Amino acid sequence: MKRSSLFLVALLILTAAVSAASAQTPKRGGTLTIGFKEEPDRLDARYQGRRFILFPEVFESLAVFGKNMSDIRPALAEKWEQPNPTTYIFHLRKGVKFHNGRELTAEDVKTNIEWRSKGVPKDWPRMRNLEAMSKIKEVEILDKYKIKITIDEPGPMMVTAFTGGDTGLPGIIPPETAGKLMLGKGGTLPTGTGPFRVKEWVSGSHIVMERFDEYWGPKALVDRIVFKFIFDDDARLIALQRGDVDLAEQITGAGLPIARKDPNLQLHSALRTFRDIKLYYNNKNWPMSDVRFRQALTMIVDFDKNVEVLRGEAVRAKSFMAGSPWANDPAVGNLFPKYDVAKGKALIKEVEKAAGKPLPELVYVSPNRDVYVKIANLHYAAYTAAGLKINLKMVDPNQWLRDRGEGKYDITLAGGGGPGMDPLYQARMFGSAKDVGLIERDGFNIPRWVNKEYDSLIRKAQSTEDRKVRAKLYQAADRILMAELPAAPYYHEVYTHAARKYVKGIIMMESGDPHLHTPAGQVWLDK
Amino acid sequence: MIKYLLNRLAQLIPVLFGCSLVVFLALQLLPGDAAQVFLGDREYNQTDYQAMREYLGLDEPLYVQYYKYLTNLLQGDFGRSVRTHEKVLPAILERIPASLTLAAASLCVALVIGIPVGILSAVKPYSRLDQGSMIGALLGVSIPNFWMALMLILVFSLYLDWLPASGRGTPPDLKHLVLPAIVLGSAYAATICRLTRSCMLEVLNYDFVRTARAKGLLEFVVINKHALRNALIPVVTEVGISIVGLIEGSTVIEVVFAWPGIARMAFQAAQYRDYPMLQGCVLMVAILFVVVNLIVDTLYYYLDPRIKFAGAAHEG
Repeated sequence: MKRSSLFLVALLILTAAVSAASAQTPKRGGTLTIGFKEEPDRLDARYQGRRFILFPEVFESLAVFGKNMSDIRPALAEKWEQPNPTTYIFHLRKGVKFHNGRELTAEDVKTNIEWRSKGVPKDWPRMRNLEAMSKIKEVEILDKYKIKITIDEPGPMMVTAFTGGDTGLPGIIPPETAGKLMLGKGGTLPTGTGPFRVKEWVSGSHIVMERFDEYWGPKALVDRIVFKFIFDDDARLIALQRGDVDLAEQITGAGLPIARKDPNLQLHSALRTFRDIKLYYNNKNWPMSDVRFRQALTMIVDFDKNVEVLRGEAVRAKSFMAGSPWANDPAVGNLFPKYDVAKGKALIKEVEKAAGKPLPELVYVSPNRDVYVKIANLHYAAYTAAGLKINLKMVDPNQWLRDRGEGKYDITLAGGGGPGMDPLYQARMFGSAKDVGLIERDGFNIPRWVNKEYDSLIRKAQSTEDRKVRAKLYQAADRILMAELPAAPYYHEVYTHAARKYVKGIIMMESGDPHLHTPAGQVWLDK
Repeated sequence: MIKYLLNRLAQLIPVLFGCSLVVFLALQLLPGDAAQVFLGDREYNQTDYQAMREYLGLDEPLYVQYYKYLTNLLQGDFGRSVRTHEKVLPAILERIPASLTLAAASLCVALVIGIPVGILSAVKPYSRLDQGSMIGALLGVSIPNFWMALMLILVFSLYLDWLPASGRGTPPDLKHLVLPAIVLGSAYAATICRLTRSCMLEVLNYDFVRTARAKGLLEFVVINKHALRNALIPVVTEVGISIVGLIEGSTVIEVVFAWPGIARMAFQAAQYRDYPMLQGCVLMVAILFVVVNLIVDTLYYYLDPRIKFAGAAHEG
């Protein structure tokens, strides 16, 4: 059994152990203090970040994820129906209160959806939009608790788009507070409908949330949650070991073995199938435009070994759709070129000879973040050993995004994905038109790769809801990607969080975040 | 004295004007612009970008942008953060107390250790005490502060459980201040110690010290009343510079100890290319620098009789 598979098994055992532990009778009360890595830019449902912790405690959308991201359950909408492929009717829950005491109505939901589908005032920060939201043609109020949403064309992701995250409708806020609470700090405190309401936000220090006693669903078990911002990984772990915090997120590198050895701590890991990391080749530039060269680049690197070097922070992804269990065909993974330096070198020579000119220096651009730097160095070593000239550029993440957006790279490592473990998000990384692809600033997708057959498959998959049909379409798309290699599928990230042993009921999801309050359970303290 | 102060205050106007110009121009040289940050990193076209540049006033000539920037500054409007959209000045003012508290505490650590040890080293030069203190000073300057911070956290927070490891406390308390102040202050203590020692050694050889001793004054009085006051002038200058250094140079300490100060804020602003916030932080540090310099110059007035005589003669 390969190490990655062993790691997966270990993760499953860990998850099972956690589930067994949380089967005790939950207790009410206490303050849960969390060592949180980065202070959010803002705490506003309209601009939710990619985190599934901190925001869902305050804001809710029409639906919510349960045990995992394939388990979609009712939230502010108690049910929904789809009378025809382009119409959804959401029945809102009655008696839902905002934190300011006012009742939620269909009018509030319509306004919040239209901010996303129709656009926002110019002086608001831009929102990240998923096509699902831009496909909305009309939002109609049927009565105080019922809305009808009409979309342009059928799509599989409409309901997922209403389960939070930053790709759909992250949450509903009272429109009368819009403009006042874009920040969350330095202004009015954020107002949502979630199980906790924000009591205090001290910039650079902490956020305090208190249980919202008028919450429509099961009331929170802990009285209070304090998010302490501790950016430094070592300091966060020490704060946990001392008991200054009850849960510390993102334990990495040297901290992992220390946390594992500490008898007072429990670890929670999640495989982020939610987001896959791939090595992108810029298909617009020669020699990357030659498929033989892309195959050669993939052959001369030992991808499996590189992932092992990341020591528990990653698990190998063998194909492009590997993160979506229902759409993935494991046989496609066998199409990935085998590690063969000699064959790779021969292919490189063939490309050079065919072109009749020497290979240029290749630019490998990497953000200067921990894991990305490790991978970049491993690739640099492999490429130069194969005789390639590499200009390795480690830049700050913003510069990297700009370089990537303008196609100023030959090789780069990047992540991509979305909620629901849906292959749609992986597939969209390679679509070459706006309706099927994630298009960068220069009008191309990240690998600057165009394949009309691929686009057509994704277009079909996007306009049907039948999972069997979709799975076949995505598997066909995956085969095209494997043959063409506009990029190389690399790994899934593993996020590990540590908590004191008395913290119970933590649910880990594909986002990599610990979920504190979901319909499938909630966190409590056994002190 | 009042005329001297007014004179110095008048000199601040062109200095602050110059600072604002340098800060404004320096940030124009950085790659990218606020419109890009505002729009995010993907999914916008050239029309969106131009519209945003227009909205933010980035399409106007540089001198017009600077004029507007300066006009707003004079009205206390430092702009809005392009990342968090909060107003820059209130955001900075919220963090300033934490930074000033840490700077003041670190300075106390630096002075309490640096000056007495420097004096003792100078009074007994080349003794074991002198050699020991100079080795200590060398270590204080050389040890990386992030390493020292982690070591102190391990010993005093984790193993001995005497002091908290991070944060400022809710509400802020002195216990949380101890470790960051020691780490930040120790490097400056070393500098002050070495400076005090060399200045004292120089002053102790002056004629007026010899005269004081010849008059039969107690050595304690000679050192503290005659020599120290003269030796302190360069030390006061160093302290003045250190205060600002302690505020803007404490990024690592603020990160390791999760201290909510202005240095971490500036660091994050630079990281996310939040130009208005970065401009605000840099300008605030420049203002602090100028104000501290004014205070130091005022202290000279008391410490150095020559300045007093010059002022008196001018007034007369």
